[in-house]
Amino acid sequence: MADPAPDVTHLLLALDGDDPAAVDALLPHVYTELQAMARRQLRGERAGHTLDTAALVHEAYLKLIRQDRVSWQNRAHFLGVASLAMRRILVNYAKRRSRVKRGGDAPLATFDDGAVGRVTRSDELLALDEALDRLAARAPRPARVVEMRFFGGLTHAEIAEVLGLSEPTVRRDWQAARAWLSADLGPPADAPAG
Amino acid sequence: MSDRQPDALDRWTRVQTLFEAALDHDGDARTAWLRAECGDDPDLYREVAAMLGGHRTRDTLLDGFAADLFDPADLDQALGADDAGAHVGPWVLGERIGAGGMGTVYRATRDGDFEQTAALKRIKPGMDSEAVLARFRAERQILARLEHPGIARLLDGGLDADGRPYFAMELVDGEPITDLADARRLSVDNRLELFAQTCEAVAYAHRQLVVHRDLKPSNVLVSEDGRVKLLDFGIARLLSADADDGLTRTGHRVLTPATAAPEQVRGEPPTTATDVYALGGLLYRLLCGALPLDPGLSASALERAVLETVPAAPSTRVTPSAAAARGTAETALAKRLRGDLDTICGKALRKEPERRYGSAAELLADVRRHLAGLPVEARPATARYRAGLFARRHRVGLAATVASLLAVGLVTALAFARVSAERDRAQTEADKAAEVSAFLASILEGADPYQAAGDTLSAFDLLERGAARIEEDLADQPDVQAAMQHVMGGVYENLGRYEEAEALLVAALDTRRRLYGSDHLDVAETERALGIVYRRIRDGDRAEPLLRHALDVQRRRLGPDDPEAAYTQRHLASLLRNRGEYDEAERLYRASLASFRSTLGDDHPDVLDVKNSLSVLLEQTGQFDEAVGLMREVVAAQRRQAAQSETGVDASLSATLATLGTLLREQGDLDGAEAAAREALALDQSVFGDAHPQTATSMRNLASILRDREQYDEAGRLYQAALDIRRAALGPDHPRVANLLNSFGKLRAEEGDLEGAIALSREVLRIYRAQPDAEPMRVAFATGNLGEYYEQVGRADQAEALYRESLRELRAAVPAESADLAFPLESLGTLLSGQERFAEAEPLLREAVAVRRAALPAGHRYTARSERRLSDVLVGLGRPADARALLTASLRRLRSARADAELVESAEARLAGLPVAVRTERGE
Repeated sequence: MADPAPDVTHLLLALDGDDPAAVDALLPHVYTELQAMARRQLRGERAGHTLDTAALVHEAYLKLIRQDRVSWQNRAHFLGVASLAMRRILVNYAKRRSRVKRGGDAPLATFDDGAVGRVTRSDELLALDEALDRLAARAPRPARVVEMRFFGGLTHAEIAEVLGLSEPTVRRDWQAARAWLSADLGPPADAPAG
Repeated sequence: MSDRQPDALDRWTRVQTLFEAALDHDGDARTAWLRAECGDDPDLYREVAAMLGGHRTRDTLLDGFAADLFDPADLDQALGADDAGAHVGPWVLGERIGAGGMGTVYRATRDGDFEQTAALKRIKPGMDSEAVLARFRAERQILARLEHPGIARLLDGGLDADGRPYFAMELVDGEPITDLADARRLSVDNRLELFAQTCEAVAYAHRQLVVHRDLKPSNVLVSEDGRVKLLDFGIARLLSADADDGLTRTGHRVLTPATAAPEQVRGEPPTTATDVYALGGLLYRLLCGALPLDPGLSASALERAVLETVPAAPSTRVTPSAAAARGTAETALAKRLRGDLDTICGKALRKEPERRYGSAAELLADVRRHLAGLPVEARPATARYRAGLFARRHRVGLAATVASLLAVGLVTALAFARVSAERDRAQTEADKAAEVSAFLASILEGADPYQAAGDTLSAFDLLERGAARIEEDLADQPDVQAAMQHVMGGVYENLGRYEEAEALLVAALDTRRRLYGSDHLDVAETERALGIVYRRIRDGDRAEPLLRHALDVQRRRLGPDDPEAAYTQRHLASLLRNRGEYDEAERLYRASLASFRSTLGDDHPDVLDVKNSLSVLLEQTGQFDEAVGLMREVVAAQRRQAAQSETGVDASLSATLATLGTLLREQGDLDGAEAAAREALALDQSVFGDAHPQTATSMRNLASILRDREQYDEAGRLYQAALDIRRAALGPDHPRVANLLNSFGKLRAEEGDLEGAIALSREVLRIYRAQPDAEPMRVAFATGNLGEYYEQVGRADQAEALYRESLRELRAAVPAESADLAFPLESLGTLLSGQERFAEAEPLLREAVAVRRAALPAGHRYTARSERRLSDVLVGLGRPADARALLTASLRRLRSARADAELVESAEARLAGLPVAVRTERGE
């Protein structure tokens, strides 16, 4: 009785460049699908490994989009939207973790029983998310590069495709954005002040 | 990210450039280098230095990926969190039963009372943006006003523990209407009963001023006992004016493409007719099992189909399996649908909202009449209707109006009818008129969607087919053939296809001259049409004699005040105006205005059109007061028409206001100009929305006036908004984007931000030059502007080079006597004169004066300015007597042209200040 699966392909084809309205229409579907896939990935044979966001983003594309109807530009747009969705998924999760932590009813960190266990660093992620918004206000394009690389796990070549830039430009944007964000976030606790 | 300021971007570009360059320097040298580069901008230095520090930082979060920051087991738990069993308000969530774009729907039971169930909808985590929340609240508010057995009821709503809004609706255990009808093999009559129930519920919502906007089978459920319930008013809209809080704009994007109405595809506000269209689609599916339009098309093809393709009649789409699902045989089903039901679907699915049933109630009434065996109100679409539709839909995409072929045919037929008053030929002419109409209709049959199912011919295909048939089929009836060629030529002219138009009209004119001699109204009519074509392709030499002869014949045979003669007069006047023969043009405009007024009344569009043209001419000849007066009359007339029209808007009013605004701006009446431009913008916003290219044009107009008023902030915001629209609509490298950047650059320069102006100007040139068919004039002017900015920052060498380049480019592009040349000539001449290179400056300024005198009305202020600058040079050359003679003549012309007082006074002062003796020194 749910609606038939929304035609994500149609939405993607309607997505003209970075049109915010089209991104808004596409995002929820991609968000839902990525979240479900992330869950499957974590429970499947890759259990114990961290989430492979790049694989997820590409799998979501294959799953949601009818390949015969879209061009590579559409694929690039999709990867861009999926990176944004991935960012929201992880940030929302970090917010929940952070709330729980402040509520005091959960352990500060949980450990996997295997070698890859690690502490969940929600607050650092949230700080980065905010810094990224500040950067976006100044320099939208480098901020997008960060979103796609750090949250979406895309390669420089793919980012270049999404943004219609050359790879060296993406690399330069990344270098500048990384430097700016590092400065904005302040030195990490265990690194000497630069 | 869309409201970024170019300032911020420019600033960032500078930061990033410095940062990258600094990386090439080492250690202390780097700091020193950076300090020197940043000069007196400590913020810039601090930011780049901090980035250099950040660059050295190792092991930042950023070197990994975001997902690495989470413990996988933890993340799994978070992502997998099952909502079942969660408490939301007084409800306990059960299974998930649906998910829309923004919300998830759960089956829920009331805490402690498992009997009471509900469908609970809440916003998905992370989707709680302000726009989504607003829509969610609106949906709840809308549901709260709907109490009808056919609409799922709102039970409760509130915020959950996380602060996310939710609401609970009546849980409908049912199936989508089409699924249920097929599963139970319902007959056509039973299906119509279900459909009637649906219409009742929709009609109720309409009475409550709610439009559903997304009626499709999955939102129309039927319960076990055969009751229809409507779901999902998720994108519904209240029709009351106060409820439109911008929801509609975000709303229309989420439509289901295969079932959206044409006005939704066009982004227009939905009305009750939009729901009627959706109901028509639903009925169509219930009856024949197919969707009206092929849902398998690509998004853009489907959009086009929604706008252009009239669906095939349901009776033609019947399949054996559809018949089986209706408990009947294929031929019997087709027979059952043919007639009334085809017609009812057709009327509900009309492309134009105003031609559909006015409301769900009217549609319901026709369905009921049909079920009762009474004749239905709807009439089958006639060939005339389809022809009109054809013409109308092609008008949308083409620059010029595609005249309805049939309408043109009728005009021709009327013309024939009048000529037929010449008694001896009466019968022949009537026959000919009938034949022309029949022929047109037969061509249009090619566009009959019921004959060629789903396959739409383009306007051009149709015209080409018609032209070919005129050649072949009418070879033995030269008079009818010529009449058809004349009509088709006019259509091609309207489409902007002048070559085809010329060929057809030349052929028609030859035939008609041969048949009737030259002193004949049919000949005059074709001469006028051909003259118009030549005028459009700027071949005035060929246009003028044709128009003059046509006018002469029409005046003699029809009388001087006949509208036909007046039309010809108007075209001849426009031609003469463009050729600079202002006096005769003015006389002709006034004559045609008088005859139009006497025959058509004061407010007729043709009268307003002539007033508009006359106003332009008066402005060109310096008669500003009357020019403004005429435009004010046009504005007033269009306001009256808007007030009387159904929509309350007149589509041409904003264009008229824009013209008036420009006129007032030219005259220096900035208050009036601003008021007109603001009203035009408000109109365009209400008619086209905030993101339409037409709105962008109005924004630019207003911005230019505000620039004159030195209200730079608002002007900048408007330019930016207009830029965003054009970039989104045309792409970032479109010449019209560059045009705006050019205006934006002027604004920056006036604000004193010359660096910004230079950057924008370079971008303008980059875009223009990248065009395969770059317009040399635009390139030349943009080059000149860049030169001006360089001159203002004191880079005279750069400026000079650019002015020279601009002049060279312009000379290659325009005739030697073009007044446009005066701009670079004057800029370069003035620059050189400022450097005391008088000998070089003199010929340039002389040429500027010469082209302006030749092209502009005597005493034009631009000419006066050039003359003044030339006089400076003459003084510099030690020829004050020449300067005096020049300025005296200039002042005389200014006075006789009744130029404004300020201009005259400044010329007088200039003359009075001329040195009597030779001076070689020249102070600034």
